[in-house]
Amino acid sequence: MNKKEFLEKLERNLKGLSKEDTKEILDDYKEHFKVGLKKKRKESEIVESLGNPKEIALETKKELMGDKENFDFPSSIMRFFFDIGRVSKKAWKKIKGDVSHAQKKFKDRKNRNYRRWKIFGLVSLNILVMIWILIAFYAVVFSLIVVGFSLILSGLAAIAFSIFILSNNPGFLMKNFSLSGVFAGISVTCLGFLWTIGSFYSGKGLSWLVKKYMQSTKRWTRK
Amino acid sequence: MKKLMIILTILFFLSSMISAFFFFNSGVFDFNAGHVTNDSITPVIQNLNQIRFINIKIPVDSEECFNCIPKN
Repeated sequence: MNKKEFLEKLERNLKGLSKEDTKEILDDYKEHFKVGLKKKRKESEIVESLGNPKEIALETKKELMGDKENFDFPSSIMRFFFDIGRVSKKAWKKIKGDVSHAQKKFKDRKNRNYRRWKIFGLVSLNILVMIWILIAFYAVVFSLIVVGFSLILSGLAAIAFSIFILSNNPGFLMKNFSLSGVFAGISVTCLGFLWTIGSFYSGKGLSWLVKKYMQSTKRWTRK
Repeated sequence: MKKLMIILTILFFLSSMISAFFFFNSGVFDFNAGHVTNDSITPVIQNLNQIRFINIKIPVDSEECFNCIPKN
């Protein structure tokens, strides 16, 4: 056994003591090794001289915690009550542990059931209500975009037709009327573009809302 | 995108105003009646009817009836 193994075994067996105490004891033994190595002694030799780490740990624990188990009671009645106390304490700890374990299990099951119902409810709501509302909203956005495109097309058609009339050397009335048509066409085309852009953004907004809703749904089901 | 939208809005209002100017200047709008009348729209329809494939019926029923169906 080398230094590292010795110290690891010692630390393992010192479980139950406070961190400070453990550190102090380990530091003490590290110092032993340091001194030994300075004197050109081998690690295995030092380990041998120190003894079994398990026993060392047990002894140290007894010293620090007090050897209640082997305490020499003045009378057997006192010993009897001490034993009863010890056994009751152990039993109480066991019962407490079991109860808390059962409680945790029950709570977990309850939570699991609650979560299942929540997921079921949300899925039903989405299938029965939300999805149709969503389709309706998307249909509205789509129709708005179509309206925008039709405005653009009708504007362009008005411009083309008015230019066609203008190209045939019309009189004063038709010239003015056609020019009015050209500008009306430009106006309608602009309106169509604005309409389409607005519809596109409303669609984007709707997608953002849907995304947020989906995220919230995910969050609710995780809780 | 914001710039484009501003330009489109300005263009929309400007062209609407210019269009209105030419429309009122053409004489199609009867200022005495306060609206487009059959008499004022007839020359436009006659001009348009000269174009091939266009055959708009001229309203003859009443002087104020622009949208009513003309009699054959």
